[in-house]
Amino acid sequence: MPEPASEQGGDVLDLWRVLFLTAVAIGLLVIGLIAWSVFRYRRGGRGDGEPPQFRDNIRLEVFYTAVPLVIVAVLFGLTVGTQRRVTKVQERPDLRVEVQGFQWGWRFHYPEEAVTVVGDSNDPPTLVLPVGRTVGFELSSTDVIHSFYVPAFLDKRDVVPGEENRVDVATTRVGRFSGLCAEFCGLDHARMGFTVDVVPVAEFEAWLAAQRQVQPRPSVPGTAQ
Amino acid sequence: MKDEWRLFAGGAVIVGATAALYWFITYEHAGSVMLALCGGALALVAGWLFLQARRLDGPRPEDGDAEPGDGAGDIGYFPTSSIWPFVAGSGVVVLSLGLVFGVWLSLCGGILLAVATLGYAVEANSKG
Amino acid sequence: MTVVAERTDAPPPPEPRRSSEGLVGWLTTTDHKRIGILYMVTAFAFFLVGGFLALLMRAELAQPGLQVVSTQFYNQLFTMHGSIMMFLFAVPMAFGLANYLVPLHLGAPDMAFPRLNALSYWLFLGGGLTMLGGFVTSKGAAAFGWTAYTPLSDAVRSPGAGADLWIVALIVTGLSGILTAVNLITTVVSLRAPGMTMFRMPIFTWNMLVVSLLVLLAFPVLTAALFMLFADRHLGAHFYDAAAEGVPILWQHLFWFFGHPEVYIIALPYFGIVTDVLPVFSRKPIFGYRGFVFATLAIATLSVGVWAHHMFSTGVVSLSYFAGATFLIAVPTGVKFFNWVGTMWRGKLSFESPMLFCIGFLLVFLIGGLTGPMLASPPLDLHVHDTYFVVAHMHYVLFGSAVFGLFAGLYFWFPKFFGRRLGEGLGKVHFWLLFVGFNVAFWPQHLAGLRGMPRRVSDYSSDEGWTFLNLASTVGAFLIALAMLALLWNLWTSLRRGRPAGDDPWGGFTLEWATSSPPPEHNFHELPPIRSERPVYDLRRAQEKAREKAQDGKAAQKQ
Repeated sequence: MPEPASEQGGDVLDLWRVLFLTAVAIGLLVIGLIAWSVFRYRRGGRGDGEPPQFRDNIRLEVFYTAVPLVIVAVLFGLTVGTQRRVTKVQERPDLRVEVQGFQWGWRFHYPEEAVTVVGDSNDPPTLVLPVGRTVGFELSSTDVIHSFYVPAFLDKRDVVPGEENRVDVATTRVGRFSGLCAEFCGLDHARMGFTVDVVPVAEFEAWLAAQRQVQPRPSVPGTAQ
Repeated sequence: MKDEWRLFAGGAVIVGATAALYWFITYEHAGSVMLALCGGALALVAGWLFLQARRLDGPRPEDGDAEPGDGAGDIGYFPTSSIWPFVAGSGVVVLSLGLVFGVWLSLCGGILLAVATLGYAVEANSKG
Repeated sequence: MTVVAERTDAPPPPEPRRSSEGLVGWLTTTDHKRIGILYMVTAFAFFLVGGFLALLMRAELAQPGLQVVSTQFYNQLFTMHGSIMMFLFAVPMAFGLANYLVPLHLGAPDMAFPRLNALSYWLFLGGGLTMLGGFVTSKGAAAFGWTAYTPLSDAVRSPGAGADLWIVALIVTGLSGILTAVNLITTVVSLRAPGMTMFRMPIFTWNMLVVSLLVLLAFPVLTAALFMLFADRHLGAHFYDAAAEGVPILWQHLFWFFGHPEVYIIALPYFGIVTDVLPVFSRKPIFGYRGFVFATLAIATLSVGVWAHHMFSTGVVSLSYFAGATFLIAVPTGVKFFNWVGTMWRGKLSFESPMLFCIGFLLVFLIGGLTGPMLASPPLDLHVHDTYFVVAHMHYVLFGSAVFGLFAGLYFWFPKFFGRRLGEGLGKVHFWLLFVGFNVAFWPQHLAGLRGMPRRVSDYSSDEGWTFLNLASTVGAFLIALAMLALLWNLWTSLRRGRPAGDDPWGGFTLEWATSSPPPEHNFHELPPIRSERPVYDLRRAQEKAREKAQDGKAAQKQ
């Protein structure tokens, strides 16, 4: 698992640990039962009599129906808790970023800063974000379904034509992270990556100022700047 | 026949209940319609099997303990060979290819299918 | 020909007119056994094609950079690999086995509608060839993934006949499946032999009944979705067109409403095979027969209501509802696992090839089943959706059931179909190459996915840390190919010179072992009395007891 770069990612990692350990425990139990059967109950030599021909054991069967039911109920409860936290979106996040996916690149627009970054498979864009802030992403697509995926945030959301999705990310550490498209979108799907650059707040402000001075890059055909 | 219609009826009840639960939790249209239709389809089969069960005079030989000879009698029509399935299958495939390559091909497929349907019917009539 | 059931005290009927031999014989057959063989051979051929496409993909992914194929062709490869395996191999292979075995299991002379049965096969063959035909068109085969999401699959983004051939092929194969489901349900309801109550049927047949029910619910939805897609592409419709008030996500709802039951349609037949093979090699009855039946029914009814767990990242479905429903399916699946263990428990196990593949199935499906609840949890799914973690999960469950389960059935029933046994030595080679190869191929994919490697990518960057995992996975894939070569060699030599099998080489329990190998036309000269789910076992016991009694009688006389 990547080391999380967001609060939500950290929350997901905690849940993952529980799910993983539960799976390992159950797996070892069942593998143990199978291995025991395979080694202990081998048929020894010819002319062996018949083993006991039992067909059921109602109490046992009820037991191993009820116990997994309880286990999944607990896992479901934990899931809903984490889910509520990681999918919560704020009315007014610290920073708004509009993300638009297109065949085959990304456009990142900071509406309250009047800055836009566009890139495609030949010249991938960099998404610059401040650390320690909640970034509210507004996700959409101009053509087919893509998916905005940053493994270090342990989260993704599809960008769907006709829908606007909202995701909040509370950044927790500085660094350079990969971004990828995670919904097959045609020919250059594999080359639709981007970079996420989480930087200290002062550096972010400086970057914004520099962007506002530079000539705006050509917009995506068919979209408003 | 009891087990059979109960199987479908049970399915209809569970899927129908799922449809209701899903609608009142999500108000999502596509899934609710699909679940409701599935419940209805299962109920249809259950109802038909129930009516068939009612028409029986008693348990069939396969519904309880019975001797192998108890099922003696005319079981059904089991033709050992027929060209018509192959012709009908070809007709359907050619008809569908016509959707891709042109209506003229669909017409050819349709003719094959019509011939096969006739052949099927004549065959069933003559040997049944 | 009308079949009249005989009383057991009557002389056996004269052999009926044999259907013609040669090519015409195969084109006109309506015998469920021949149709079953046709299905199985055709499905296996498609499996080899699909597997070859996978080898091309794995060869490409072994190292970063594009060395083997273009991205355009790679996109066709994964689309067709998935489509072939899901539509042209896994389900038709199960239907082939069902065709051969269900009438035998029930003590019936054939399926309820023999000509409809044959029609189903020809539709499957025609549809399958149509789909593959895409490869020879100018723009190539369909290249939008086996899931064909809109708007990507519309006429603007996926022009070309390959896509249309794919759509049309699935409409035809869907029809084939629906007709087979109708046939199977009718056969089970109306052609069971005297004494064969519902709760004495083999679990394989129970599972095929439930599978047929699911097919009737799921396949029409896919067919409708496909017609709508075709209409969008060529008839001016806008079902999925966001620019014209259509809803792209609608495709996903329709597709997955079919798609989730589809994976249980795939898995349940192979669960049934394992449930029927395991007791024979443990020398005990099935443990928890009723539990198996109710678990299968629970899985089936639940599976209709969980489709949108494939859509968590779309942002427009209820996460909690689908997570809860999906977690629930783990419970009946777990019950089955414990029942399988219970069948082996305190038994006398032997490890001929059918049993080896059963154990392989249990271990592989277990791992796939354990990653299922992880994916059911939206917070986790939002990280690993559309990554290689999902690819690993689905191969563990699908390959575990439809390949390991299949081979358990193949080694078990090959003697019944062909009168000869498959070689045991080669069987062991086949098993171990496959078991090791499969795990080497797919275990690393869990790790690649957790580290963020997306699906359906022809290439990846060398700085992501995925390179070694991909190389290992490719090595495993080629080991799987070697395993298949061992199988092909085994099939080839056994068909010619395999050990003759006789009626009942394994000491089987169910009715197929009460007749010759292969069975005669219309299956049975004489049926044993049916008083449990193990009629042939009961008959054997009764005959042993009669023999013992006769010997005691003789001994008493001598004194």
